[in-house]
Amino acid sequence: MTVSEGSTDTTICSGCGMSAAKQMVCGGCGVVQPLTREVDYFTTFALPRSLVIDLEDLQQRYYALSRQLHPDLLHDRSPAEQTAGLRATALVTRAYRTIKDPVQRGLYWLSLHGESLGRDNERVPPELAATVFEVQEKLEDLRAVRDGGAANGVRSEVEAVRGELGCRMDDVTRRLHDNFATTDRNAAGGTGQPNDLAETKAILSELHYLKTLVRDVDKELEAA
Amino acid sequence: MERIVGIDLGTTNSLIAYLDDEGPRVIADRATGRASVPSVVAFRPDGSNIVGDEARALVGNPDTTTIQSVKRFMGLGEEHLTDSDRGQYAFAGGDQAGAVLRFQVGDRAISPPEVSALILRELKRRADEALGDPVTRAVITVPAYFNDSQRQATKDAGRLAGLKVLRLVNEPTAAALAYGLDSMTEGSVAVYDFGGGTFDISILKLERGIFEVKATNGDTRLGGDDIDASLSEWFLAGAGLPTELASTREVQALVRRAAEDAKCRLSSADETEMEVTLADGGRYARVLSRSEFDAVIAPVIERTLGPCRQALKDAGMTPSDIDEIVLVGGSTRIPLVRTRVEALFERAPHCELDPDQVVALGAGIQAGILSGRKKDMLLLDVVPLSLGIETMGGVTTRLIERNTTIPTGVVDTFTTAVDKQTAVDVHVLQGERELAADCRSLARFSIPIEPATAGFPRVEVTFMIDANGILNVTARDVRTGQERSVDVKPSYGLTDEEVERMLEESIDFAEEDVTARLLAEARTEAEGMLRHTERTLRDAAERLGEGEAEQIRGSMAVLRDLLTGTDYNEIREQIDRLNELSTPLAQRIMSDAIKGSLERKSASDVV
Repeated sequence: MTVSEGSTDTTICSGCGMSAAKQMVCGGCGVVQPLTREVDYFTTFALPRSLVIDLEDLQQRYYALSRQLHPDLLHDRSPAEQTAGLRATALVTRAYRTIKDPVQRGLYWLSLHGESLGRDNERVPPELAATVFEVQEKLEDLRAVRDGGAANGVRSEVEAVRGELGCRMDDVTRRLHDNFATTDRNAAGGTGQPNDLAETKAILSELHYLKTLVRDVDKELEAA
Repeated sequence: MERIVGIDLGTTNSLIAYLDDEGPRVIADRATGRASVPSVVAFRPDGSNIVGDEARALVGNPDTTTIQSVKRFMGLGEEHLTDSDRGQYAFAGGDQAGAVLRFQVGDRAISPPEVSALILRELKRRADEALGDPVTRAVITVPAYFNDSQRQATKDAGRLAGLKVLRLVNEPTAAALAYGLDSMTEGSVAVYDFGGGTFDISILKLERGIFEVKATNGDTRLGGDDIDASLSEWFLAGAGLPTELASTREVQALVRRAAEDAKCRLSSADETEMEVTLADGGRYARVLSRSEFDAVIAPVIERTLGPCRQALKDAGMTPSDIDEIVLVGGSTRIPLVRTRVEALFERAPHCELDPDQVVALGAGIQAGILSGRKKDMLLLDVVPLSLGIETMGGVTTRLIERNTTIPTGVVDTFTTAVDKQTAVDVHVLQGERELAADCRSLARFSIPIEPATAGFPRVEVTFMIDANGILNVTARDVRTGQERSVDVKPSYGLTDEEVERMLEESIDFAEEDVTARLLAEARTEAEGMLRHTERTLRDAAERLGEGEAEQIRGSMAVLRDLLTGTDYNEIREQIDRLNELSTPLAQRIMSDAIKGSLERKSASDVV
């Protein structure tokens, strides 16, 4: 690893190395700022700010941009252009990662509309309270038998719970997609600003939480 | 134009390749016709060294110190050594924690990058001869699962060998390039790369020349070496060698060698005799059947399957989503390996390309991509391990998740916990574990700040991972707006000063004038810079701001003037200044590229 600072580094460019990287993530200051001000993650791919997107089409757009900006294809350019290509590629990659995942996309879309899950994000969504309790209990059992020796019964119970969580995730994902479609229509029809985002937020929050839960269960299953 | 070469710097064997009009080709040794150089270095008592086949023949010779599998030691510190490592080699020791390890060779202490550099020099010599021009720029492959320190160590080795390392490419990705170009396959491909000392699994999506890595996993200390070790153990348990003999380094090396040979024979034979003849003429042997061999090595093969499952999971795939499996690395010649891989992925693996050459061929293709010879292919690789920092309570806070496509960057802001702190300490970590102590320490550094009440200072730290998977960190005190210098000590790595010193001390460079070489390098870079900038000014005339062209041209004129002189430091500084001046223009060109593609897309959407 190398650590550099300000003007001492020539590969990652000086001075604006900082501000440009900042821009890439949070829309900061300096020379490259026009890029972010005009181009959010959706417009990076020439897409409208809609919640429903065609993933195949998004990927083609991502590949097309990469072919123009990737540092590997800029080796015959000046170091400044190579550095700019590096940053632009990093931005595009980040945008792609965010937009292609429905939950990340939803959260990002909310942030563009000045909204966020806020403190609701930290609380267990009410729809999930019972499930969370049950899962934690099962995981507790699993940990107990793991320390004391193998017990396949508990493991298969946890696996069953994992299966149920998977189905539930699929179900909530479907609801999210339906809601995305409705929200897009509302936004397009009215003032350009969607009216009620409470349901979108609730579904996003539920899915977000489910994902965390599934990750925990998988981790315990792996360890067992 | 001078060619860029691709190098497979392997644990057991190394190869060098390049791309010509007909495709990638490996450069064989002119004298012997052999394609690969065994990655073995032997040091004679007088300090001179031998690389390759001749060095391999000296393994077990008590008059020389031979180092094999040096790749396993790249980027490591003493605390990472196993008992078996210590049984095999003598280490210099005595260094403090976080220092790079060094082999004890006679009265010298030699770091792994220096040993690797000797192998690279041998490869470079071959290429210089074959291509007629000295080669100075290279692509080098590394295991996908190599961490930052291991990557950095590989770059250092290149530099020590007099090569500018333009790019590190992950070995399975390189293999996929060679395979993809050869077969014109599209779809999901799993590359199972089981080499001499490392194991990687990568899952890629191939589509119209884009090679997108979806997930990668592996073990940088698992390979054919472990199979040899298991076989050696099996041999020593029943061959009747007296214990006091069996524990010497020379005999261990001979047994290893015998294990390696027996393993290779069993890839086709059903039974073989593993035998060792000692220096005193004593002969020991044991018959090994294929089924016994399978039983001995099964635990090693088993260890490759966990990473395969994890990679599939990270890619969001099941075995049935994989269209093709490509086998890479000498260890995939073992029939049991093929059986297990076939069972896991539920399909027969491909092995049309020579598993020993496919990585080098891919490195040659990537070299062609970088030089502009190959324009229709592009790699989108990932970072194999998560990166983060240590936060309160010794916990790892992840900033970049594993399998994130690179290049990528992230910014985070830190503050202080104590009043009037004059610095913020940042401990950079790599790995998947929750506790900082369980992750790999990449670096520690301290950012000086303006003292203030706790919680007030804001230090912005930017992590940027380049296409090589190497991390760059920059830092800024937000409150004062000052860019602060960061003092960093890379863990288990050589500092720039050490590399410089080694270069100056190395025998080959002592013969030439170091200053002359540095001047020549600076001039070449300056000329390239002038050429590129001229082109940019011409192509981007309409994007130039007021007075911008004049400023840039002024700076170019100064650089041209300096070229007539002999001060390489001045030339370098002027290159930096010109670079800084042309940066805003370059950034506008890149933003326009994004917007340009946007307009074209919208237009085609309308149609």
